[in-house]
Amino acid sequence: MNTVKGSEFRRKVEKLGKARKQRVSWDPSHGKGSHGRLRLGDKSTTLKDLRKEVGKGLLNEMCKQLGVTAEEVNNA
Amino acid sequence: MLEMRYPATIRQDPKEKDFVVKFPDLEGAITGAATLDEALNEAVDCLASWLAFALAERRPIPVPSLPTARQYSVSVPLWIAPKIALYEALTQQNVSNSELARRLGVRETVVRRMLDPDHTTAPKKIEAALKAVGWNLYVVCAA
Repeated sequence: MNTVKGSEFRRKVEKLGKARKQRVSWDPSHGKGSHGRLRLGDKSTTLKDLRKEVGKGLLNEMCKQLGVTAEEVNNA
Repeated sequence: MLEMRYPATIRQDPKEKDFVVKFPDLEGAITGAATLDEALNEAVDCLASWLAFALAERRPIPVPSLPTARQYSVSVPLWIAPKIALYEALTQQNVSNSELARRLGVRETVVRRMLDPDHTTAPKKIEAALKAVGWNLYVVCAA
């Protein structure tokens, strides 16, 4: 299974946002939670622990929530 | 009655084979893992994290829908559940932080901390706060 680290995904979305002049923000989790919130423009998704691997199926769904494709994020 | 369990859909990606978790009641809540067991663990964390954001930002807590036969029922973990309950009770009873502080004979900061997901509060303190607004906290265990 193809995976990408959470932190890597965040970095790529930040790069994509910069290229598209869209605002990107990252809100780390509160309390004992480990899922944060990643925003791109007016869309947002939930991103699990940045140290953990994100499977490709999940990655595709997260990209959908952000209104981008996995390719666009990958090539950022 | 406020029962803190939310239905989750867990789907194995047909091509990539990883498990993707979504909560239909909670917009944007998504997580997943390589195995179903891990996905269920991530689901609990994802649910708690989502509710913690809602609590920190003083957004409404969605009412959980009834799970369908194909959904999983995910319980809100204990570190955040009593805080959410208190937040809900205060909202529903229209009691302000300062009014609750007055009823409990504590400073308002104490109440604010009770509602702060980044602050650990002993469950018995929240139990007392709930009582002060006419709510009862009780535990149900289910297999």
